[in-house]
Amino acid sequence: MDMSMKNNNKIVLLLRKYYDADISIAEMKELKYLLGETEKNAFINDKILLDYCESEAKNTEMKEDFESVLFKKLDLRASVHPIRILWSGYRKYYSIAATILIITTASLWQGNFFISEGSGIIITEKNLNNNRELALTETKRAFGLISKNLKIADLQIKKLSYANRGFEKLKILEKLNIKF
Amino acid sequence: MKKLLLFGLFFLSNILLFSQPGKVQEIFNRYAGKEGFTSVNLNDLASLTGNNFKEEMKKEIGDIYGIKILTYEAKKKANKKLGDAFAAELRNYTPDAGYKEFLSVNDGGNHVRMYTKKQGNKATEFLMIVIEKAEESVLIWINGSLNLNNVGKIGEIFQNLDQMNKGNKSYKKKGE
Repeated sequence: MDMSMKNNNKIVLLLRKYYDADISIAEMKELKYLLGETEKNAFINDKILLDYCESEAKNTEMKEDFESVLFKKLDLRASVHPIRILWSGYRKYYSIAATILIITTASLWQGNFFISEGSGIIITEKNLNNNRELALTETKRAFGLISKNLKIADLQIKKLSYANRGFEKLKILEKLNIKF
Repeated sequence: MKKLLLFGLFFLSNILLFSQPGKVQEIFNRYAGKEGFTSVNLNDLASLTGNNFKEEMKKEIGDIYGIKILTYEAKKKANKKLGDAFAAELRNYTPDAGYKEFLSVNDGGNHVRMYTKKQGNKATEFLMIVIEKAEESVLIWINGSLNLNNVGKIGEIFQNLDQMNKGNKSYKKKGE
């Protein structure tokens, strides 16, 4: 098997693997030719095509050309697969729509659109279920602040009490007329 | 008729006893719901914890009936003018009659004040003001009494809840 044949086989395997393309070697050669045409007769060699197939083409514009040619070809062949036609023709839009749908569903699931601290939300018992996490964070922080400052107060009171005791001792010493 | 009058008086005294402090409510009305502010207003603190800690929390919070928290954070979208007004209002805040200041901390730009209101020997309301420079201001009002013990225990419950929420499977409730 010569090098060109090996490459052709590899390209077909990659096309099948990454693009789920049911494509023969003859069709792949035709694809190469079509791609050359869309690239304004630019020289399309096996290495470039291999790069395309492995989705590592650095030139996005060229990669898009390749994909559009590939899917155009698949569309022509896929008259028995309407789903494939729909998928191949608009798959970029589908992924955008799917992303929007997922975000919207997730937000609706949470009962709000990106509600976070400082968004002006008022949490009461009525909407607590949808905002439990935020309410919990705020309340936890509030108790943290109270606890921290109560500890300061406690410490100050203890200090004062020690100081008082010291003061009392001084008074006793004074009464006993003991001087330092 | 006499019974009805007595019932009415009892009802009114309860309302007065557990009513929200006027000035605090005014501040909540003015700032809650605005950009940069987060407000929590709960009559049952145990409802926060879900079923896992509800009973434990109920035991600890015993004397706490409700909580209101109003927080301002100087984030990107926050209304800074309102935030500054809120901080200024808290700084000059003088609570309603009956409140006594029991702690005040001034540390650099940070400013903390705590007040309690008593009915007889029992504290019935707790108010706390925290101003952390221009970035954060907090107003906390609690209907009930607080001490270092129950605050510490409630804090512990929240900590455990947090660990559970983070999916720390190794976490086990005390005594298990």
